[in-house]
Amino acid sequence: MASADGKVVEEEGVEDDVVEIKEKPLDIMRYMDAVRDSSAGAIATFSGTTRDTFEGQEVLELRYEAYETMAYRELRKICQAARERWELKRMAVAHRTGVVPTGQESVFIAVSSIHRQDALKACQFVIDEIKASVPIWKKEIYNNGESWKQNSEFLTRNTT
Amino acid sequence: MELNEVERSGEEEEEAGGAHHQRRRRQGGSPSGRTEKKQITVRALLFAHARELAGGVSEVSLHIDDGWTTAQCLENILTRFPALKSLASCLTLALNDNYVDKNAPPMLVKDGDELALIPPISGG
Repeated sequence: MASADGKVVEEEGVEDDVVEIKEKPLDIMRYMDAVRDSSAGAIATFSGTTRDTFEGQEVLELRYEAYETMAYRELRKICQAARERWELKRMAVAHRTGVVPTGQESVFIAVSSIHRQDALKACQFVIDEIKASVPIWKKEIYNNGESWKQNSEFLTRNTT
Repeated sequence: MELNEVERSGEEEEEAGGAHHQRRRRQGGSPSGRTEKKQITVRALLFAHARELAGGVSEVSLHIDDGWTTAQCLENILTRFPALKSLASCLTLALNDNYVDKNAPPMLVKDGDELALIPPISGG
């Protein structure tokens, strides 16, 4: 992987892991197929979808942006950390950026493992870690304003 | 990503009152002949809420003395964009794609480093 200025970004995860940040709808089946493995007995997935209300206010759309080089690096670190904790076959993690209409996937995680517990636990771990450390931001747009959101997982980890 | 607005920062603007548009060559010395510290350039990136508070500026080149810490760079940016101070208490820094640990000893920046201002994240 190379960043915009041509510097080689250090690879931290397993090369087979699919890690993507893209400004397009996420193709769920493609990620599920990417982790499909005949030696695996389970594929666990998590979809994060965009809500249409926040504290009674109608959310018209959401806008995501990423610090891409760092976000890729953090996502790979998370995959690596999950592999160290559980016995996993394949992993795919994707985050959408740009304008995301309500009711659509903003994040998708797929993990395969021989036994389901490993994949299920890893999936939960990956989404929790994404919320705590991956530099991606979400702004909610309402009829009468807009608001940058803050993940409690990040604030907990970064309070001094 | 909007990375097109580049603001020059640092001493040449303040000293020259806007007369210099090109960065002074480090080896060129100063016209006054006084001894100068080595100058380095650090790219600072502003994202999300931080970029908006800075009036849409997403990248700032800091031309600074060698030996500055990441915290000093942040102070410099806050001075240039006072509106960012409202966010300062919850800003985290990242140096070359790695979070700067607020509890670790001060970290020095090097020429060519990339320093990002990370407002509270909200991915997922």
